[in-house]
Amino acid sequence: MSRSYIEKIAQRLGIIPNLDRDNARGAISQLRSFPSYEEWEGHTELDANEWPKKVEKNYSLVPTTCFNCESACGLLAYVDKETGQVTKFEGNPHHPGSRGRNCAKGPATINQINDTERILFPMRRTGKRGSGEWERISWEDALDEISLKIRESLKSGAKDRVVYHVGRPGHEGYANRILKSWGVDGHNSHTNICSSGARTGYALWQRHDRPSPDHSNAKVILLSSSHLETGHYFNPHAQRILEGMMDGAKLIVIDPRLSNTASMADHWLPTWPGSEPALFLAWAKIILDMGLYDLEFIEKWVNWEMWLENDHPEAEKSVEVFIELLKNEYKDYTPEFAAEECKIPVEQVIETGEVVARAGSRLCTHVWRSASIGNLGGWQVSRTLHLLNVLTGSVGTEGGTSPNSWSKFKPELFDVPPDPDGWNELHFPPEYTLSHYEMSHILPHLIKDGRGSMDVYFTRVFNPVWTYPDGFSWMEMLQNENAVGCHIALSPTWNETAFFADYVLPMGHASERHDVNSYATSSGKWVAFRQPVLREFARREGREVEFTHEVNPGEVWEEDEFWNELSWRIDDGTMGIREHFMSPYREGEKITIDEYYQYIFERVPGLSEAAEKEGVDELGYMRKHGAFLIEEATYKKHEEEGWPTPSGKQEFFSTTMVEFGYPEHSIPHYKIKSHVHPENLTGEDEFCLLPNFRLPQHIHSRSANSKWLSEIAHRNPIWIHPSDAAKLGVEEGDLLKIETEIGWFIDKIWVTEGIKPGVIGCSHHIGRWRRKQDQGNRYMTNEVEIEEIGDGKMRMRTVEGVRPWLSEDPDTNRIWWRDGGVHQNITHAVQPDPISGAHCWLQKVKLSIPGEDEKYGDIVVDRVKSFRYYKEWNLWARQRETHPRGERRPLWMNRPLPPKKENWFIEESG
Amino acid sequence: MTNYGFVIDNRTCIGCHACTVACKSEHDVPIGVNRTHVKYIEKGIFPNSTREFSVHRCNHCEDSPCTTICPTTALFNRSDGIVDFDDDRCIGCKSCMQACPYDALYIDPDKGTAAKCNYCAHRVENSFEPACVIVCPTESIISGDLDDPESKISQIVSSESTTVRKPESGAKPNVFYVETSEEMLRPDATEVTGYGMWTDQAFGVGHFAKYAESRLDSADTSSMIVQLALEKKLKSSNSRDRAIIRDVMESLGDEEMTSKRSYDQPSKGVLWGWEVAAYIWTKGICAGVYVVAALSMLAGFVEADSQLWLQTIGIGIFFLALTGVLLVVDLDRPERFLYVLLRPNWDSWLVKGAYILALYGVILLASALVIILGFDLVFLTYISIFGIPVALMAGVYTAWLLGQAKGRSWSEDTSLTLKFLFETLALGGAVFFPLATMEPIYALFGILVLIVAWLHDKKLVIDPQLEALL
Repeated sequence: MSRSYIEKIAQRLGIIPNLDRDNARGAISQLRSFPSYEEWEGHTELDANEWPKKVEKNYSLVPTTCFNCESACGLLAYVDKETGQVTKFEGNPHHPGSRGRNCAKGPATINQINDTERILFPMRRTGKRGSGEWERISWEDALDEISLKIRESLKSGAKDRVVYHVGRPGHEGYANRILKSWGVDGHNSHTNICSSGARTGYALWQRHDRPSPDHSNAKVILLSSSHLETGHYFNPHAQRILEGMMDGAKLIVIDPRLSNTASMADHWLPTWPGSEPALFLAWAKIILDMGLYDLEFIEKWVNWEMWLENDHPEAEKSVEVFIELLKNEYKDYTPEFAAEECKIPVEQVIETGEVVARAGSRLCTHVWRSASIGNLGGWQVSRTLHLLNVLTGSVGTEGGTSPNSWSKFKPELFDVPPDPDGWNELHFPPEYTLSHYEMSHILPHLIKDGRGSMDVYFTRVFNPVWTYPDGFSWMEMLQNENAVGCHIALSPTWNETAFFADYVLPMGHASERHDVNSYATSSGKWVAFRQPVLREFARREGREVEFTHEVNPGEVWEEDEFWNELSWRIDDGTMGIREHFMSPYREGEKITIDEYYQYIFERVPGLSEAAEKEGVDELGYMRKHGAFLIEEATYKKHEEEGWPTPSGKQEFFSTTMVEFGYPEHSIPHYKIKSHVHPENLTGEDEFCLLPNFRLPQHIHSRSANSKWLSEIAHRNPIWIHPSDAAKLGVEEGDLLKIETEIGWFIDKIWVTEGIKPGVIGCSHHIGRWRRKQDQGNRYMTNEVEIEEIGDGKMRMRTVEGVRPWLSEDPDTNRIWWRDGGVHQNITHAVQPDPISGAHCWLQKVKLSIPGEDEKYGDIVVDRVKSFRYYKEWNLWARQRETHPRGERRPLWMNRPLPPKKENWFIEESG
Repeated sequence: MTNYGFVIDNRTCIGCHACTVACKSEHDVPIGVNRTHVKYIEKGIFPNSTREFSVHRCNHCEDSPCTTICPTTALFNRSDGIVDFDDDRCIGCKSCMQACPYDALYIDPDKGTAAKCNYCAHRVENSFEPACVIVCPTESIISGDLDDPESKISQIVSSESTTVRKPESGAKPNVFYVETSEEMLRPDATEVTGYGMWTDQAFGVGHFAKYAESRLDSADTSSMIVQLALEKKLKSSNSRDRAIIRDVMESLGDEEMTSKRSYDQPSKGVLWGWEVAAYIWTKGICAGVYVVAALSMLAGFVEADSQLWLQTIGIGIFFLALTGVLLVVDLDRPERFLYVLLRPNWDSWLVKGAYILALYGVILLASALVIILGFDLVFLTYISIFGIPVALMAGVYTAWLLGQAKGRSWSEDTSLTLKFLFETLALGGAVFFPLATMEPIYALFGILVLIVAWLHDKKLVIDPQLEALL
């Protein structure tokens, strides 16, 4: 930069400082994306803030995986060699799933690491549960005290009173192995408010309970989901969906709401919630009528003969006859029928049906949650969606939809303790014979109903008080020391559930823990390693670390090491637990975390060879690269393995449904109408609330301490169509009272053409809170007051919205938003589907103008009503409870942490 | 010759904000401001409604108005097409923010200096792509050399139909959009309300924040109702209140709008506030009083009188000093005010104006000396031969400065020069004639003119800043 004479002279005279700089040279080659692998242990960058002054910073790049959703996308942590701290996260180009790219939540991880309010030390409560009084304790004390409580419970002989309830596992089988070593049927999860509905539909067909669409190679991508903005597996799928689309694939999106995904679609079908099976069956009929089915696949791989035997015993046992009979079976699923049920134009049903029908073997379909978890009978959605893949012959094909298990690597563990010898009826109550995963969302209700209690309860990255329906019932349960003897919250941050714990133990985030990951993000099979990056950095610098909490901020630890140490202490030498924690490499010694993972990685096909080439062991390879591609593509595995069902085929006809008391559901049909079917919404003021759509930049209740994510999204107004707003006499920004079956909340409205009339929407993630005595997440939390107002009713009022505060981070004082939204979830009634067990998220609501003293953010819930309502839904399951051969549930179907065989049978009474 | 630019491919952009956050991470950008962000609009009627996303940031213009107006070359054009900046040189005058047709700049709340996307120049130095490019899940941000026909970016620009934002700005932007809509590119096509589908803006950031804090304190409760009321205060006549809640400007009229802005970055507020309006007013007085005095006394309307001259010059010097103080006080880095004179960008009217004011100050001082030292008044006439044109320029140059501030509608007002000329003379007359005649009617009239001029100056400065820029 040439400077004026005046400036040169003024600088020479010292009137102004000398700001002459070396001119920037600019790039010397074509711009690259990532530092090459050889540079990772010594990478130099110029300080962005000092620029155009050239100040060099030296980094050691350590790979790990993101912990913000289940995709476990690759991250590269930039460890500043001078300060020994992580300064930012970029993508890991070696990760076969994410391929170097991330969604907003990936780079935002640095906010979560540096959160000024994160929990840094183990805490134990000093006041009553929920009083917000805490004291710091040592890990030693935490381990000693908790292990004693577990020992006590185990010694009583109980197999189901020590429970680990997990939100985001983020690992493969670690915790399950621990629970087995303790001998308890003690695994509970969140699946039942997430994907149980969809899983049930898929599992009925093929036991594999999740789809893995091969988007990049698709001709048609049919999403009953919003995978371009959220969900499993958002980033990796979005990449490949767009690849497919740029290559000519057509995107069809089914959603009553204009999601970002729907806005990218070639065809957006805003179906009435719950009507989707009608649509899919109409399309199945189109495929059959147009003759565009894959007869070969059907003949060989579908159990059509069993249907014929059962329903048409006199018919000829040929696949052609099957097709004819099937056409007749589905004759009423006309486009007109679908259009009527779905409330979309019949032309659209036909047009998109033909698009789907012509997809042939390149039909990608996906439902994970959405309609399958929203509606009563939602499991029909995935069952009928998968039917389309079966008919078009796109199961397991290139460009088609495979079972996720084909591309998911299952690690071999160094020690596998025996299956638990018990059956936890709080998790798998007898009346829910077909529930997929545990009946987690009615845990408080079952306990209130006197069906059991827990001695030790771990909530792990799990926030039911906030995320789950009827959170006040959770609060009630957690505050009852007879229901929950000891509650330990394992979490990187404070959350509404941790407020009601006895111990809050800080566990590390993406760059602060060990995990092995493998997910079906495409047809390829990969394995990735999440590691405490500062531990790896220390190792690179030649320093040994025994426990991860030595390198993490404060004394933040990780579950892996915590579980090992805890398990060791539970065992007083007589309980046989320690023998499951012995090193496979050093006789008679306790296993270390490194050994645990070395054992797994030694057994990853192809990894040993790759490691040898680089002169490292398998663990060393994963520490350096972070991920490894095991198989490029995993198509058509059924041709070697068959299908893991009783018939060995895709079960069009389900003997299981017949045997377990649901003969009307023997084959895919649309026989159950949603609880929010228009028939059930008769009043002028009755609407369907869509309460669980997600945002691209948040993840449940884990992202509230990221300032960059919170700044983008922090409020959740009610999406309402202008015609509905007009009918109700409200305008943009006005308040509405939304009444559910058990309570109500007051929210502002967002008038939009992006939602189906008759349906209103309110986003998930938002409406976080803390009471006066609570801490944490102030970027997103409102300060609230909770009180009992008599007759079992609870009220929450917002005292103050989000406010700036002073801290070491100047950004906390720059918060420019005040609105932290409204906690709608707590007003939702639990609605357990009697067949899949899934919580049906959609709520039937009444809308009205709030009263005089009903303010924005007000919430009232009637716990008496919510219990009664649970009993009503529970009755539906009891009424059809059937146990063929005394089986509690189908023996061939999956369940997490399956107990020993004997426990699978219900004892006959008397 | 390398010429870096961006292509934003809206065929594949999913509006996920990974780029927004990656950029924040790379440059540690404070809360409330963005170097890049994603605008969302919705349009159409259900079920034919749709949502669009558009990534907005500095366009690294070939003919960048920000580098023209920046008084200290804190902003500069590199030979490889990147428009970079050196915040050690920045005085926080915010002219760049007024000059940019694309609202790409912001004032860093920590440093008080301007910042914007600089193409991750610190990464380019080591031949790495910008942070936003590598994070994008769908590879929708393409960077590269527009002058290299083999580069991916050139191939896209030559084979796909692309648009730029506001091509009429003349800035020659180098960010090309594949598939975007008019409603997205036109800032006035969607309402700006201060809240969106996931956001609210109870208060502004940057220059709003100072004013907003005092408003919060004066409210006796910070409950959400008050915030709601604040947001709903559309009928408030206080222009600062309207600015806070980003009300729709008259320019949008009563048009039925089917497009809706669903998400946008937080507003930066009114950047040139009362200080700038005030300096225009005080400058008009200090320049005008001399011109009117000199002309009147030269033409013989008023008797040349050393007392009157001294008063005139005294008023001139007083208001010139006040002008200087206001200019300095408006800076976000006031301690660097000398940079305008000592690190000059001769293209900028801030610099030229500053030198004109300095020259005018010399003229006033010389004139004062003539009187104080008792020289013949005819020397004042000789001085005024230079003095009048200099004073006139001092009063009028702001029109040319505003002409360079191409981001706002005042830059399209061709009558600005005349307006400023008229105002300078009017202000001068408003002060001089009462002084010269000592008659109450002139004083009354003068006060009226002063008030009208002040209101006009405020409107002139503040209103265009409330119009939607994006």
